[in-house]
Formats: sequence, C-alpha cells, structure tokens
Amino acid sequence: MREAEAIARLKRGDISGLEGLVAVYQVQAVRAAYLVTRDLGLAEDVVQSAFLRAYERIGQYDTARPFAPWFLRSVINDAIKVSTRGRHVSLDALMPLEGTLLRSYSEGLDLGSLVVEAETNDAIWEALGKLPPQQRAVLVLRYYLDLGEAEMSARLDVPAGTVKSRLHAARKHLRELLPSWLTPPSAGDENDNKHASYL
Amino acid sequence: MSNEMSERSIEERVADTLHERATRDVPYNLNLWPQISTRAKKQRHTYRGMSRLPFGRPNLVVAAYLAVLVVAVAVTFSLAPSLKSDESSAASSGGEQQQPSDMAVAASQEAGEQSTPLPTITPDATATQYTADYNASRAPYAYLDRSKYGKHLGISQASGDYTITVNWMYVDGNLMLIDFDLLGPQPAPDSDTRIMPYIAALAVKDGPVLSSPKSQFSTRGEGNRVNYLMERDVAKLLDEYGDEELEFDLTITLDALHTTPLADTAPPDATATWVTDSQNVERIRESDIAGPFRFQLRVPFIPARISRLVQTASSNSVAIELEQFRISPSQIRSYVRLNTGDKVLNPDDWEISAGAQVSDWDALLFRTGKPPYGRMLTRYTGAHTIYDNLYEQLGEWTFTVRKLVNHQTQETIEGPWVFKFEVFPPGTDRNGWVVKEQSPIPYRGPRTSP
Repeated sequence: MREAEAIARLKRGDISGLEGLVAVYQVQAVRAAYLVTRDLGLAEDVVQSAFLRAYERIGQYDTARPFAPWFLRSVINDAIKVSTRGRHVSLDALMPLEGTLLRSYSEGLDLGSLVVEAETNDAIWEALGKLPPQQRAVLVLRYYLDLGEAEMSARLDVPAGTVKSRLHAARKHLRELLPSWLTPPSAGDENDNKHASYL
Repeated sequence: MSNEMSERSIEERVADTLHERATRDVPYNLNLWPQISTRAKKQRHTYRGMSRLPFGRPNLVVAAYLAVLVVAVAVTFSLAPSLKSDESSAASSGGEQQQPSDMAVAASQEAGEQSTPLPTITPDATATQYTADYNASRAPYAYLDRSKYGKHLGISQASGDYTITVNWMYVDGNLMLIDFDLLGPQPAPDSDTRIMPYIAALAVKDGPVLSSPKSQFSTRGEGNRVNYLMERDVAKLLDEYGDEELEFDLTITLDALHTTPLADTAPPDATATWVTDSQNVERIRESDIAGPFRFQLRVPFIPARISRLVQTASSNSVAIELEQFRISPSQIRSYVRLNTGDKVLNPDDWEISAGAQVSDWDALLFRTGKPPYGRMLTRYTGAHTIYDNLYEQLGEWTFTVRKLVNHQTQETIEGPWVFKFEVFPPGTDRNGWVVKEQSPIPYRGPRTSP
C-alpha cells in the first residue's frame, strides 16, 4: 500500500489506511517529539494523539501535498505545547549517571578522546534540555530533521524571518549554556584546555 | 581554529547528539498501533453513533456541546450538596489529572532500567564484589531487540583469576555483536591498571577468518566485573552464507593497560607496547596476562539484502558512484566512490547527510557515517553506515544524498545526488538484488496488503 492509497482509504473511513501511516511515520515522529519533550512516554502520547487527530481531520488534508510535513508539523507543535505546560519531567533526572561508560578498542587505545567525545555529547544534551521547548524545537527541525529555513517556516507555520530569528536565538542561548570547555576560543585566545583540541 | 569553523563544529556536534539520542533512546521497533487502533475504534464508534443524528457534522458539534452543557447544568443542580462534600476528593482527582505524564515517565524509567539478565557465573570469591550497572536502553544497538535477534548463550570459560562469559551473540551480513562479561579480582581503588580483552582469533568454522583489528568494544561496569559489547565489521566477508546457523571459533586473551604520568614512567619491558597520548600520560600495554579463553559458538546468521547495481549521480561537479547498498537489521551500508572529475575523494573523510523514500512514502531520514558511540568503525569499513533497523522496508527505494560534509575541514558540498533501486520481499531476485533465502524475520507492515 502506498501513501496515496493509505490516505484515500482513510478518507473513506477505512482504518487500515491509518495503520499504514502509523507503520511508516511512527518512529520518525516519536524521535522528533522525544527530542523536544525529552520524555519517551510523553513523546509516544503526543504521536498517538497526532495520528488520531490526523484520522479525525483527514478531510482537511490536501492530497496534492505530501503527508509528512502536514503530520510532523502537528507533532512538533504538540510536543512544544506539552513541554511548555510544565508536565515535562526530564528522564535525565531519573536515570543513573553513566560515569562508568567507557569505550576501548582492540587497537588504538585512544581512551582519552573517546571519553571526551562521550562527555561532549552529554554536555550538549544537557544544555539542550535547559532550552525553552520552542528553541529546542527549532534546533530539532534544523539539525535532526535537517530542514532548511524555508521548510522550517512551513512546518512551524511562521514567517521565514521568525524562523531565522528563533534559530539565531536558540543557537546563541545554547552556546551560553554549554560548558566553557566546549565553546570555541575567541580570536587570539591561547586556550590550552585539553578538550579544545577535539572541537 | 577560526570562530566560524568552531561554530560549524558545534552545530555538527548538536546534530550528532540529536541523532545519537534519537536512535539510542527511541527503538526502531516501537509499535504504537495497538494503542492507536483501540483509541481510533472508540473514536470511530462515537462518530458512527453521532452520525445517525439527522444533521451534519458542524451542527452535530454544536448540538453535542449544547447537550453536554444542559446535562452539566442539570447535574450541578441535582448533585450540588454531594459535590461540596466531595470537594477534597475532587481536588485530589484534579491532581491525578497531572499524573499521566508522571506515570509515563515512571513507566519509561522502569523500561529504561531493565537490565539484561546476566547469567550465573562460576562462584568466585570476588563475585560478591559485583557492582556493574548495565542499562540496556542506552546500550549501543539498542534498536536490535535481543528477544528477536541473535542468540542468548551464557557460556563461561575461566583462566587464572579471570572468567569470561559470553552472554549473547548476533551476526548478520554487515555486523557481528558479541556481548560478554569479564569477571576478575577486585582492583585497588587507586589502580591505574585496566584489564582489556583482546580478540586473539575469530573465525567461522571451516570458513573465513575474521581477524581482530576491525573489532571494537563498548564497556559498562566497574570494579571486578565489566560487560563488553564487541562489534566486528563482517560486511562482504560472509556473503557466501545464506539463512543458516553458523559456528564460530572465538579466542580471547587479556591484556593489562598501565597508565602513568609521563614523568614517572618506568622503562618498558620487552613484552610491553608503549602508547603516548596528548594528555601527558603514557600507557604500557602488557599482553596475555590471562587466557586464552576459547569458545565455540553457534548462532543464526541473517544475510544482508545487497544491491549490486552500480549507479552514478552528479551534482556540483562531484560524482557519486553507489557501488553497493547493503541492508541488514543492524545497519545499512552504502559503499560509494566520490570524485570531482580530476581527483578521487576519500569516502572516509566525508559524512553523508541523506534521506530515503520507500515506494512513495517519505519517512526515512538519517545521517550516515557516525555510530552511536564514536566514529572509528566508519573509518575502518570505508562505507557510510546508517545505524537503524530498516530491514523490513521493502519496495522501491529512493536514496537521496543531500550533502557531503568533510570531517576534518567542515567543507560542505550540496547535492542532491539521487539513486533508485528496488528491495523485494525475501525469495525474489530482480534488478540486481540478491536475496538468498527466506528471511527468518517476518515482514511486518501494511505494504504487503493489497
């Protein structure tokens, strides 16, 4: 079954069309929602509701346009809403620290750089968690879904200029939240921090 | 390092982190359909009931709203005293309305902390010191459901003070994974020595030898017991095998890695290997402190679906030749050649940002080139790797490379480069696709239905 056929079925009230759409889009949708909400259970709730809303409102969907942007816009907006409502509890607070995570190789043994890489990703993830959901969402659209500003404008249903300013603000805010060893040195700064060499 | 380049590097890091977390924390095989189906049926049932009313949907909504309002007013008047007396319970009920998200979090936490059960190991004086904490949901390749893929083994071998137990093993046409525990004496709290396994030999019985340099380990745990997940690139090495059980001979030895500050380092002895890194420490590697630990392991093999069509696409004066595309549950590998007409680019230097459509769906999006933890494997394999399970995505594939980004210089070349090929259900063979045997993985999804 192809997408057009799934949507045609859905428009006829045939629920098998929804099953097809769920099978294809659920993982991408939950991953995008998770990156905004940072809570897998909440992300699944958001995506379930978005599918049900799509089912309910399929009559409003223009079949001449691709389904994914229409659907993912709904998912991202809902993820922002539930995160903004303060219902969000970061899983990070509940999960044990992985201070023991290491990676080694049968050859090379460059353990230091591998630990730094893991620390870097953890630091970025932590900083992303401190951003407001709207700013996190624009970073997810830009760097996870790999959308350009025009596409982001369409997904968020806001003018391109707004996207640009939100993206700029999100990047700026993120840099402020990152630990000093992750931020790039200013011109002429002789930064001898060991981590700088990995950036 | 210019600020501009640093900015780009951080953006790359953000993208890496988002992709890593999404792939690691949200399993590919999640299935929301049962819950959605139940809720959709209830919703549909409601609509059907309402559709019997002799007016259209907008009026129906207004009518329903009014009906609810009338009922609410009636109930308010008739039950006012009891409502007042139940105020506290209503308040607590209101509080509970906030619970679903907390409950969802708790459920996620519970799921996240489910540990891979570790088999009982030969009783040992040090066994009581076990402190490992293995969080399966954040393990590499967490999207491979261990109840569905690979084989649980629980086979132990002991040598000297050490015991190795192979817990689980998985092999497909791209990758081999071996999960094992190392149990040994409790190290001193201030020890600078780390015990490391070394794959001394690995081979298919009466078949290819899989040498060790392409093996790498992820480790969890501390103290005297550490869990390892060894991953070994086997792409192109096992293509002669079909859907069958293979027997492997595995030999592991143990090395000790001593880390000392540069100034205090003692001279190396004849058997040690010296490594000096950028953190002013020297590492002395002492080989074969225990072992060999020898295992014979039988596990099912899942052949990759392999495209042998060679296609070339050009954009921005760069031609990409797609030499081979290999899909297995653990990974997708795209082997490409890059050239600008006058020079050939090293594929290992470039990361691919790509998307894919299967049939006319548009749901797959990924970046290639970086495993969930680190990027060494990519450099070893010479392929661009997608870390996700897309084995069941059958139909016409459109693989679109959107841009190339150089790991070192951050140079970006915009695409798109578009490739099309078809992936058919097991047992078929068209357009250059080689599918050897019926896959043991049942095809799940709607595209088989008419």
